[in-house]
Amino acid sequence: MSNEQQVIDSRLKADYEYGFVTNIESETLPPGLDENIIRTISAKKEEPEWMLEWRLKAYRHWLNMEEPKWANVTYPKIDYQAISYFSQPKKKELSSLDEVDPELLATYDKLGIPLEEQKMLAGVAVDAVFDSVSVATTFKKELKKAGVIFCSFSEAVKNHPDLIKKYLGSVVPYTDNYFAAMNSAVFSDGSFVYIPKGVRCPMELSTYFRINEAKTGQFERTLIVADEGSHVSYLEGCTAPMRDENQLHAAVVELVAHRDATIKYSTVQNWYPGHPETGAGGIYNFVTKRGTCLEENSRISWTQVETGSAITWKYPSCILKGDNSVGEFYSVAVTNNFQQADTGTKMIHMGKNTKSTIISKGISAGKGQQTYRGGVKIMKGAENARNFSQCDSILIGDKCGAHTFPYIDVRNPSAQMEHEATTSNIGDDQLFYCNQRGISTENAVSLIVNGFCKEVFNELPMEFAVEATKLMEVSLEGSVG
Amino acid sequence: MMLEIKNLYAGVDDKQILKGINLAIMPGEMHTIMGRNGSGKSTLANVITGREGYAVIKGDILFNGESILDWSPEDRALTGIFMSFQYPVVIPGVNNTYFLKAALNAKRKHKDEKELDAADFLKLIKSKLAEMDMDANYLQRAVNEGFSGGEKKRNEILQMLTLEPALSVLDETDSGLDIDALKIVAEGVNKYRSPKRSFLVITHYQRLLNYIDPDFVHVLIDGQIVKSGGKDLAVDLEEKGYSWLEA
Amino acid sequence: MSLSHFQTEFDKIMNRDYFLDAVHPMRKEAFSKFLNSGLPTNKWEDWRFTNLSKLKQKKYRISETQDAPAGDVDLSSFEIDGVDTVVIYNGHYQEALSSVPSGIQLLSGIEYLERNNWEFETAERSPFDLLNTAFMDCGMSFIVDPNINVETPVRILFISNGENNIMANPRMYLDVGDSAAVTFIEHHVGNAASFFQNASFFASVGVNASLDHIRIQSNSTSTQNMANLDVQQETDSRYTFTQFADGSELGRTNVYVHLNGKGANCELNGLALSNGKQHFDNHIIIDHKVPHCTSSQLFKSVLREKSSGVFNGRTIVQKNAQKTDAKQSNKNLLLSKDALMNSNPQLEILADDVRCTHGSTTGELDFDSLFYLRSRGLDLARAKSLLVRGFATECFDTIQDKKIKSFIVQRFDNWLN
Repeated sequence: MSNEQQVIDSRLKADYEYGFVTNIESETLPPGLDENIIRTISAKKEEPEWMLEWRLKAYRHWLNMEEPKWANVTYPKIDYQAISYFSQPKKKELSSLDEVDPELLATYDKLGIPLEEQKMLAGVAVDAVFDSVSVATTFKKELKKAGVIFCSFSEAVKNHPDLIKKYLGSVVPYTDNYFAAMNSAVFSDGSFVYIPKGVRCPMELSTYFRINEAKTGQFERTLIVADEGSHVSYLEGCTAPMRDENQLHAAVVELVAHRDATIKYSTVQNWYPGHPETGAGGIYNFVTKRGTCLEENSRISWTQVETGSAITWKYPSCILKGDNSVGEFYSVAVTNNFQQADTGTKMIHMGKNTKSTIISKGISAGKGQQTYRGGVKIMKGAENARNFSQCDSILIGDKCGAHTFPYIDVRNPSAQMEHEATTSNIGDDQLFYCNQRGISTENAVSLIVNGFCKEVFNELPMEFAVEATKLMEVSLEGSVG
Repeated sequence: MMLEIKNLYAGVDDKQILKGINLAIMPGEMHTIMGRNGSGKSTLANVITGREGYAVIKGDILFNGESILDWSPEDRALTGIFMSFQYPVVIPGVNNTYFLKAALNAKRKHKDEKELDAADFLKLIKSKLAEMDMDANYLQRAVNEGFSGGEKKRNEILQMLTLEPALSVLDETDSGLDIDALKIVAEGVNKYRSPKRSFLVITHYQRLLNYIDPDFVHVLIDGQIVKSGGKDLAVDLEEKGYSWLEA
Repeated sequence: MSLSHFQTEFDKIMNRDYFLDAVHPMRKEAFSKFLNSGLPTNKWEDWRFTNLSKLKQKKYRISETQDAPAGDVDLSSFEIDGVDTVVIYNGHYQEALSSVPSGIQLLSGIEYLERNNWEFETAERSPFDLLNTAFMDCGMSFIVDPNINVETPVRILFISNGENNIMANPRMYLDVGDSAAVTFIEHHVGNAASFFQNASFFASVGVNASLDHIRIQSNSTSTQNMANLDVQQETDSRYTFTQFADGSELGRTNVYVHLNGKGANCELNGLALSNGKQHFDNHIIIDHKVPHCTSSQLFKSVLREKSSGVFNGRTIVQKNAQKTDAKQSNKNLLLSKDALMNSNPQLEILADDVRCTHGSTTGELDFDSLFYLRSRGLDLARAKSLLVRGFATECFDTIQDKKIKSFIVQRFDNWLN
């Protein structure tokens, strides 16, 4: 076996750094889904009647829906009755970090998000979600000064019911798709953000996820509303432990941008990718993420770096209703070992002079498979719409695959569309070429992968860009060759 | 002696291709290797530059008196061996300027020389671009991305001029070029010649020798150098083909 | 034109005494296949967006002796400096007006056939290939011997004039020997009131040889111009194709490039400028059969008034064509709300170690850029002109010969203003 091949093999086998389990008492409902479970969930969260009603409506609708089958991914059939839909640590409400279970805090340490340190250095407010319940929310007071509401979704239901009632389901109604309906019925928690008129959120908002219990689905619900003239940047990052059974993640994220407002949503996702040899045990990640540029001059921007996850199915989308609104999507997806990803975005142009930009970069290695679907729809009334799409893939080795399905639906002749796609292979030849120019293999790998991703990395907030680069290295070290 | 190949037997995938090559290149000399497809020309180039997958069964390769058989490709490069590839690869997303600067600075660092900063490098590369009659937009493009066959070969020579190697191995650099591009490449090579620099030019077509002047021509048949001579040997080959040497 | 009308004309061809008997069987076979398939309808995949109704309505006849020029032909308006020209007038070769550069041999049909053992390349991909084989009238065969570098470009000037509904089926062969090089121009001109030209061009580019092919399509706007190009490339060969089309009512160019030998490079470029109801259709296929070949397609269109266009670019990479480097780009500028462009780039990749890119853009002039230029004092017309010029420039870059390039640029400027 050649030297390069050896290096590659050893890196591909690098253990998932974050693979460990926290042993904390948690209360988990028995597996299965029916109206009683939903009522129990709602009761445990002490939700008002209207919230329970909404959940039940969604559940009843879900019963009539069929799981979608068209994704270019394969997975063993999910037994929805074998999953528990709720998990909560057994402790009472906490008012300060001091009261947080020390084991829990240690967990966060291992994850690299020590809350105290973050408080001191980065000034980032962290809403840490431990499995299905928010445990610690810091900086509430400082944000409150600016008038920014940033709390767990459960809290928002209790403390800001008007806002929830106004916006929940306005971007992703429970009728939208199978997993959105499921989520609407059993969502556990998530983040709620409201930025009032004219306010520029003073810090980047962030949430960390973690799925702990085996067989627990993660049903996050996030709602971010930016009122007129406001601006917010939100970071979402996830890690998950090593598990033998696949874990289900069906989240819904809704973004609403009013006139002249901007929402920037960044994700660095590092799910357990499945056992390197068999592919078993990874995360099923079915997410519906959508933003509506409701009024003029609004802007929504999705940036994501994804590695890991056994199966990913997500399409962050933008509905460009307001005139002059702008939707952007920047993505780097890495699939290795047995990962499969079916991802992409949808940009729907409705208003006049709307603009969308899609830059998608995929890196496939090992036996990873990636499918990119980029949808751009220009509705009849969307005068002067502009779209630029660029979709590039790098294949490392010869057992992985990448497929691109751009679909462009233009119903207004004044639209201006640009599309580019590139597929290339990084192999021994590129590395030898660099070697022959005096550049070591390690530096060559760095050059190539960073060069490929830089357009997307440039869009990430600084802290995330650093983590993203590190994440890429963990996922790809030596797999280029 | 700059390059000395001693009784070299080498092959790839269990196939023996080079069967006892002996070659000595002194500083300042240009040697040409000619031969049919499959005669071992590219194998020779790849073994000299240390490409993975090629096995040396017997013999040695010495560069400036030292055996380089155990050296990695980048170490051979840093010590002064350069190859112009027959089929230059594309490295998407990696800017030409950035790449070449990384290579040049790696070399300078190896020689304990000060690395060039972006501004100085830009000045250097622009002058080389002018020499090779290449467009300035080269600077923004990724390595060989979107380059035609001829442009890729010109890029190889441009890199040679920038990295200033002691030994340049040109592997079929003339293949697929139109006359104008060929003239530019030949000019670049000729201008680069000096008493301290040597060339090993591997070619298939006699046409190149209308524009460069090798000191020696060697004919490679079935992994062995069967005849060596001056430039007129190439003319003979042009007229008679290879069969008169194959007997 | 109905099939029975084609039959009538075909019988005339078969009765011509100055056509070779030796090719009669080929003609017959091709014609019978043509009758079976008929002319394409818009249900055919490759003809979905190109309307052939004009072609089908007219009744064309083959070119007769009376269509040859009576007296002198004035070539002054088609002059290009520094090229040698072969003149074909309404399908008739004008020997007195023609010359070929030294290094090229111009052979007659018989000579070429003899040289090739009475076999020659043919194609059957579309009914127009078959039509050409059945009806081929004037045939030109050019040979460039190995190692010859032909310095002067050679041009075939196709003139179509007159009031009659003439159908011409020229057939050209160009064999470029190993390590040889030549620049070849096809120049289509004329004021014909109604003309249907269906030309087939077969090129073989030898090992390490180089062929620069320029095609200028400037016929009258009542001409139907079909071009069927078939190019075979051997190891390390180089083929560049640059098409400039501003004439013909309907212009359809089918190009099929076979990359048969390692290290072959192929660059296809085209610029189409259309007005009125002109329709320009480019159907390109590049077939990578072996490893290490490079190909590129760059086609641009500028469409005014109610004109329309089609680009269908297909790059095939066969299973063992590893290390292929292929790119494809189609950019279209619509200068009116009624103009229409159909762009369909396709990549068929069966190998797994390749590099392929493709991109397509269709749009109008950028308002921001227009405004910028106007804010610098240029009136709207001048500003538009500048932007369109900038858009088109890339297409002329492959033309090495300065005189040919300036001829084309001049025509472009004329069209713009």
